[in-house]
Amino acid sequence: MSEREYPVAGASVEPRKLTIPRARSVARFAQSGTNPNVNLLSCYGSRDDGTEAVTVDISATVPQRPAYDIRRTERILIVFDRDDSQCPWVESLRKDFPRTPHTNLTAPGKPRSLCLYDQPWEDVRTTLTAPKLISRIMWWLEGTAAGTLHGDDQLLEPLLFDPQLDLIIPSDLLTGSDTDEPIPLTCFRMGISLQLIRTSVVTDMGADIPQGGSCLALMVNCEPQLHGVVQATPRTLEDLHDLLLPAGVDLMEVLRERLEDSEEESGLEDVSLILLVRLPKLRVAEGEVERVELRAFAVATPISAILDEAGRCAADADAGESQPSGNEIGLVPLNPRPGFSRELAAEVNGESCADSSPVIAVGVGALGSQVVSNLARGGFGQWTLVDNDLLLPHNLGRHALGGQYVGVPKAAGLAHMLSVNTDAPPIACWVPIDVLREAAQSDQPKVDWKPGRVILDMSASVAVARHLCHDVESSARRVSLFLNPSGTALTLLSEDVARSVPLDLLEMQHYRALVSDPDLRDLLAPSSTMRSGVGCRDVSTQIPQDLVGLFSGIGSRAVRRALGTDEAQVSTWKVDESNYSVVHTPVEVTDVSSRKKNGWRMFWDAQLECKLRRYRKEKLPNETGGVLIGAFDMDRRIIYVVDATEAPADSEECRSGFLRGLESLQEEIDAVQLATSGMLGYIGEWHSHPTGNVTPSSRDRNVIRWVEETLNDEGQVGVVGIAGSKQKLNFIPCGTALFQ
Amino acid sequence: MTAKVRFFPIGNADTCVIDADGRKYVFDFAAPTPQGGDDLRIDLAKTLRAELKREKRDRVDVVSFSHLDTDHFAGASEFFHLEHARKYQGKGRIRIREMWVPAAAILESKWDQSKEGRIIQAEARHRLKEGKGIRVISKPEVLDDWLRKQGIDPKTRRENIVGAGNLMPGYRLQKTGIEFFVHAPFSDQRDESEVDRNGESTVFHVTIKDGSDDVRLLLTGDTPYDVLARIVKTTERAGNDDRLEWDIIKVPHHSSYTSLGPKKGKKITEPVPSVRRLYEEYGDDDGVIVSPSKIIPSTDEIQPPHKQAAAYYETSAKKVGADFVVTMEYPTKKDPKPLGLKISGMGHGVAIERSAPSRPAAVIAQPPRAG
Repeated sequence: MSEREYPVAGASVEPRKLTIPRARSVARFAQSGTNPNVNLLSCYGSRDDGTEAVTVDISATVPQRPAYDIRRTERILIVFDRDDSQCPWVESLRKDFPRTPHTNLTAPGKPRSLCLYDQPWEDVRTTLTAPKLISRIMWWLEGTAAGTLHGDDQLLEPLLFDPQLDLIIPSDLLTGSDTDEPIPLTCFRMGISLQLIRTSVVTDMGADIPQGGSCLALMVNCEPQLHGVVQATPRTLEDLHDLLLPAGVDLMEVLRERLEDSEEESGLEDVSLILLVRLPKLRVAEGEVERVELRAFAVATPISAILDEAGRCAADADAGESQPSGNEIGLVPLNPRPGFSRELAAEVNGESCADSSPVIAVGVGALGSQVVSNLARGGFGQWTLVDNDLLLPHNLGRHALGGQYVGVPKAAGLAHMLSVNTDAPPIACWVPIDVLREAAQSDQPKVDWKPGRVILDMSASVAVARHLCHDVESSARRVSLFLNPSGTALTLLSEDVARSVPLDLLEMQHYRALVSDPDLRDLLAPSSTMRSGVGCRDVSTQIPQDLVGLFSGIGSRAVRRALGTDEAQVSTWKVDESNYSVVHTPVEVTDVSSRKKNGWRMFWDAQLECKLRRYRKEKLPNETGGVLIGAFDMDRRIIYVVDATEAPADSEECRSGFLRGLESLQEEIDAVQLATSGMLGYIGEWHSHPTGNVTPSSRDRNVIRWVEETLNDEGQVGVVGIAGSKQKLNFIPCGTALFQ
Repeated sequence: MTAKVRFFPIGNADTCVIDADGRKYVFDFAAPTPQGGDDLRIDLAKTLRAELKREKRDRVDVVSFSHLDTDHFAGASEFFHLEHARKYQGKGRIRIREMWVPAAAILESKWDQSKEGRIIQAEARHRLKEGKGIRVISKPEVLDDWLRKQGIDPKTRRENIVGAGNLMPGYRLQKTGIEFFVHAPFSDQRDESEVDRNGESTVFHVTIKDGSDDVRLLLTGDTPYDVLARIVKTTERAGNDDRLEWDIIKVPHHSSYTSLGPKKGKKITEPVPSVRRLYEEYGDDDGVIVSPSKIIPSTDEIQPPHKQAAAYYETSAKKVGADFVVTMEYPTKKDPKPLGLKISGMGHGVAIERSAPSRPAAVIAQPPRAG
């Protein structure tokens, strides 16, 4: 160990003795010589924290005079977490490795750690292989050496880690109740009005929102009166006492009776009193109560003082004195309005009835918050909102929440807003977790997935959608709603009631449409982004709120309609920005088939089968073939076979065999990758057999071996497909994903 | 402006391709026909043809032959469109806007010329007769006799002839992002009675713009040590030291000891003093020394590359922090690949291009036959 290098903890072991799969595959890859720029030095096991580590020398494209002192070959330590729950930790072992942008914060005197990815680890993990990890480190070293890794629009990295505390000022409205018991409420001062919410709701919010002033609301029910009884506005408690006497209420007596119990429970020194006075009104004496008038008064004195006064009044009265001194206690008169109920919401939205179906919404960012807000305002849904992001100032441009929620978890803020918008009981609860880490973090709150009728994914994350589709136990339909990167289109993927075509396969059929439909081809074109903070992942796309508003409107209506039918649906709406017209492009959902072999599950659908049959038939009696397009989920060992190309023009097709050519193939694959933003790509080869025998021939086994070898270098597996007569089809997964 | 300088694993043979400011320059062209098995040389003709097709080019700007030895032009008559005969024209051939040759390539006649050597010579002579698309590196008067014999007034061909110590016309750093200074052959070197092709190889000092900075490339031929020494001394005397400074140097003659000094040495070849200065004083920090050659042998051999010469290059590389790269050993002896030297245009200097593998992606390779 050189003095210029940091030592590595743990015992040196053989690569094959590593027990963490990702560590072993990186070690084996580095050893294989497949990438000549990486050289395995040592492997380390038995480390205190249970991790394993690999040291390598990595050579990158580093110029003579780099922007930062990066060397042509750097000694790198890669540390692997036992449960793969975080990105491999990548450090330079060189003690004089420079301070550069895109390094993780480490203590002085510790090795510098490279920050490799600006996406969440969950998104990276599904496709990360050892070759890709090494390439990424090379990319980091090259970009840092060239000084181009740090985007021009990014703020300078912080010198010190300085988390900031956000100050929150929530809002509310008045609620009404028939109970005689004092109602614990929390009172907030908003502008020139006071707003009340049920303390139970506030408690639900957890400690994230600072509590407002505690208060008790006291409902005072008067006897029915002819209308017009309260003509003057009382300014003191004494005024009100006098005013209510004709309505059969001795206010001081009521206060003493009801508040004394409360006083024993808790100290009321700081608790204010809100008086809600119900005055049933009669048009004519002895007639029916036509209307209940609600009057409210805030008492500007702590309850303990009120009790003193009430007690003194009673004593005075007992002593026969006629002049109570209650005029010292001031009142603030309020103009109460009825709360917003689910029924009222449905009514003002023109819906025939309110719908309290349980819905679990995952992701309440710009689109999610507005869609949920639209639906809830229409009286739809009993919501569980799942999101662990905090609302930050830059979110205000496109979020349903306002500035008073800055610093609060978005889910909490939205649940709060929806619940306080609506009369009790609350229509939304919230779970501040990252669903991808739910299982890993046992101390975190859990989502109860089972009762959901719908799991509505608006997370804008493929990893989350896949997780909801595969890893969450619930019979609920999964529905995904997402915008394209430039915000000019909205896509809805909605499962059928029976979930016969699950969400991930709807996703694949959507990607195929992006390739085949010229109207959708530029859908995933990258958009401009902006930096919202100094971290690598603080990237926000620049999409106008107008478009988010437009598409959350379409989205919420489309979700409601999709849930009104039993069928699956894949739809895209795209706006023409020259005249703001929106075009709807539905994609026909076709049935899917699957097969399990060699530990891999393969999925394909009827449309692909149809295509392969047609290509085969056109060339009979000769064989034909082409390449297969699709995607992998390395995590779940799934291969999606999505599409196939026709034989390139320079292929050799004859009765006894097929040799796939090359002409225009690269362009075609490039177009697929471009249109799907890399979600679909080459996954293997297919060809036809003239008979119904679709088992691989000895020649075919050469193809299988070739696909294995070719894709192994990329850490991938592949597929070879054989199409025969009588609609027979055989997909064979090949390869061992050696470097996965 | 970004630029790239490339060398190729083609055994003991020279080819250097420079891409700069949208132009493509080819210095020597030796396209082997790999025999498979242990022969790990690449099919240069195929590689370049595919590249030109991708770039939608049917021509290159300059093809320069340092001298007419096979390992500097092999396959050129099949790859390029030659003006002098129909036979060497047709679809897929790459046109040459300007051809650069040393005077010897025009004049030599009686020695061990290969058939292809004669074709290249015929092309150069044709172009010179036409007075188009050719520069001959020489002193103007050297070619006069030959021109007169062809019935051409030598005065009408002056602009086709460029002498040592000058810049190749048409290229200025500020305008084209690249310029070429001629070091050799010296104008007085030509002696008709005795021919020394290696001694009369061209040597260019190329300057490539890199933002506010430059990258310098010294492109030797199969230049022997005495000629190299003379280049150093002459250039120093003329006060043109900057034309000796290099970030990239292509060593002469596939790491033959004869380009360093008179004696091979046992472990290391000791260069003559002025050659030593070239490597140890004129090399900028962290540059690249390229040996376009076979793998350096561990034993003493008669033919280059010589392990003793390579040992010197290694030693001198360490002194200036440079990397010594052998084309058949890069990135690995088992699987050599073209060596790309990247110039970012941001003033960072030259970087050895490192990219992750290697094997062509499945969609640009052909699978075995299915049945």
